[in-house]
Amino acid sequence: MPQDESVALRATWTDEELVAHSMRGDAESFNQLIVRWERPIYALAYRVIGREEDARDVCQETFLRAFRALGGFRGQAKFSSWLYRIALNLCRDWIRRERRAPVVQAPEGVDLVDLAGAQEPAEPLEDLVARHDMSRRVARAMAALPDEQRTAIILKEYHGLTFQEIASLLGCPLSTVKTRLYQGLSVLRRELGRDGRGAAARGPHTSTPS
Amino acid sequence: MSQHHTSDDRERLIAYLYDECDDDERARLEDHLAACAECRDELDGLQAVRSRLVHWAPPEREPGFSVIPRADRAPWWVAWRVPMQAAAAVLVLAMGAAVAHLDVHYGAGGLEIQTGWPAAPVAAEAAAPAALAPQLAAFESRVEQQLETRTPASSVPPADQTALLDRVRTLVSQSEQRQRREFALRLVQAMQDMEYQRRADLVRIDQNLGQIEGTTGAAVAQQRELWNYLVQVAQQRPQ
Repeated sequence: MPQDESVALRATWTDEELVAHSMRGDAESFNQLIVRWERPIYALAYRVIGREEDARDVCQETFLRAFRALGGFRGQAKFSSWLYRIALNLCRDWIRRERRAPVVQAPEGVDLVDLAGAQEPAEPLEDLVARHDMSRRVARAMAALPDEQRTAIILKEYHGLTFQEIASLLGCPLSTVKTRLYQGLSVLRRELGRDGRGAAARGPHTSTPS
Repeated sequence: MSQHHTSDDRERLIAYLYDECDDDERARLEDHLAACAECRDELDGLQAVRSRLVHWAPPEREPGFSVIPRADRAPWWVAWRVPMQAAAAVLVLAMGAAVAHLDVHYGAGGLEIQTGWPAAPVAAEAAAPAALAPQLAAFESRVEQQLETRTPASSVPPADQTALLDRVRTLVSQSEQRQRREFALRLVQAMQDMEYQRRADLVRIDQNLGQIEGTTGAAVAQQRELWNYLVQVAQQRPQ
């Protein structure tokens, strides 16, 4: 089978099919899984630990471990949940090792980098800066949250996991997940409401009383 | 949410916020919302904060690694695609070595360094500084190791070399793109800093002007008072 064709074909397979082929020794299938999940796993690690380089390492290590442990993957959970679990464990190790809270570090306003590099310079500079600012403020406010609240919010907001999935990943009851989300969002609401009173902070749906 | 709402209520609100409740629960909560301004406000606030969270994006990045099957090792192994700079460095080193035809041996005859094309080997004295030998040997083995792990090109057909070249080219162009973006970001940051400075200066100028105005006003008032006094005194004289 020509290379392009086989790659295109694998792109249509489900995670489970790719896992099955990977277990039989098909490297390209595992590469397809990497292509599919590398970005979400990196994003998760970046948001949890806040450092680009370390997040990259965690991401690579996640796939390396997944690859090595593939034989032990029995399909009892979704492949993505399994990956998330490995990544979260590695993040937890990192935080423990570094003995510090997650940091907020450049490049914080990544969306700005993209926007600045984008083809159409339609967005005024003020808006770019405003978005950049908001990204930084959110990152800072998130970094100040307790680990468990931050992780719950990251998994829910940026990865769209269900309460049940989060509960099983974090090993806590369903109600605890909801409580953490509520508490975390309430803190963020206070924080972002307080320093986000500029026009930049106001989205179309936000109605912060001034 | 105040005291009279329980933690169950908060959980229901969160479930509603993320649309993870069944129809009954949704209907019940909507009934409650219709009657409870406090919960409506709470929900609005939580929705507002969610709309802000979307602004936090992680840095863009390209896939950094992949699995490479190897026929000679069982069954296959994971190779991290080396970062671009390292790849470029290895490439440059390899090219440099190829041009100079540098050949380093450490054999029974001592250290042999061979450069140039067919030229006679330059045999270093057996009495070469003893401290240098182990370092060079270590360097040699490291280079060999790197060449073995990083550039499987030596054992692969030319088609793969083309693919490798393509990949290097892609990496280089991605790097250039990243640098352009980085530059744009720095530029915008610098402009932002300038803007902040400008605003701060404006505020300071404003304050200073206010002070000057205040002082001037006080002086004018004093003079006016003095003038009035003089006028009064002048008017009193003739009487």
